[in-house]
Amino acid sequence: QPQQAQQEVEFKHPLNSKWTLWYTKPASGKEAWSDLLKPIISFESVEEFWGIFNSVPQPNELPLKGDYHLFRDDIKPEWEDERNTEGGRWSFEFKAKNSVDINELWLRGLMSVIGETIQDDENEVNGIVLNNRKFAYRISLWTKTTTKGKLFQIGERFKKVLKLNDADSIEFYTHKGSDSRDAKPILMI
Amino acid sequence: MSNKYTEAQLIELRSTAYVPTTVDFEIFAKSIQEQRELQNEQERRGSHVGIRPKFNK
Ligand SMILES: [Zn+2]
Ligand SMILES: [Zn+2]
Repeated sequence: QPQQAQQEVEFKHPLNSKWTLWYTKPASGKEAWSDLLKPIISFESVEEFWGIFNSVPQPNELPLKGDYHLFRDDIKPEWEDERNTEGGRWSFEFKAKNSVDINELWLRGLMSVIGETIQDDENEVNGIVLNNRKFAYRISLWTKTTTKGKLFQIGERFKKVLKLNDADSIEFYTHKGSDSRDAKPILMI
Repeated sequence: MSNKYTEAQLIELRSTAYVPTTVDFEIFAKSIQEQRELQNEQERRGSHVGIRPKFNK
């Protein structure tokens, strides 16, 4: 086996930000939350995005309570990160788990985020999350603020990315208001 | 914003995929498969009481 060459790879298609893919593994009872959530890898180009996407398991291959998180720069996919605290998330739950093409929708979500077409503003979107739960897949888009004008525009685009109908509504929750179990969305479209 | 890519532009570049060597993706995929198998096993034994879905996070 030859020694790994220290080759400089020139990526021709830089992204606007560095992005980090995180994974939450399901709790088996022994670990602390901080042991479950781990960064997998960071990338900064279209070329690396595809290489990574082709190499990691698809959403429908995840265990229950397994989550993917793709976040900008070094933002942690937690409410407590100061770059998330003032923001919130647009969410939609796909309850027909067997009939939704979650792999395609997740890829569309990832592309809208790394390609920055989900927003006009610079850096309003912090990341995107996929949860696999027993009764639903959920995809959430995390924003930096809760400025309503921006949220509506991003939310409308998010609905298109997820191929939702007019009858489907996505909900926006602020992170600060999410502590209680009966948290209510502040917006629905 | 300097670097924007539409979905079509990104898909056109899919053939340029470059797999970073800093992570062993086979090990990662294998660990995820094991987590699923463990859950399937627990499901079969009916001992899945502890993994009720929690929707808060
Ligand atoms: Zn090009
Ligand atoms: Zn999570």
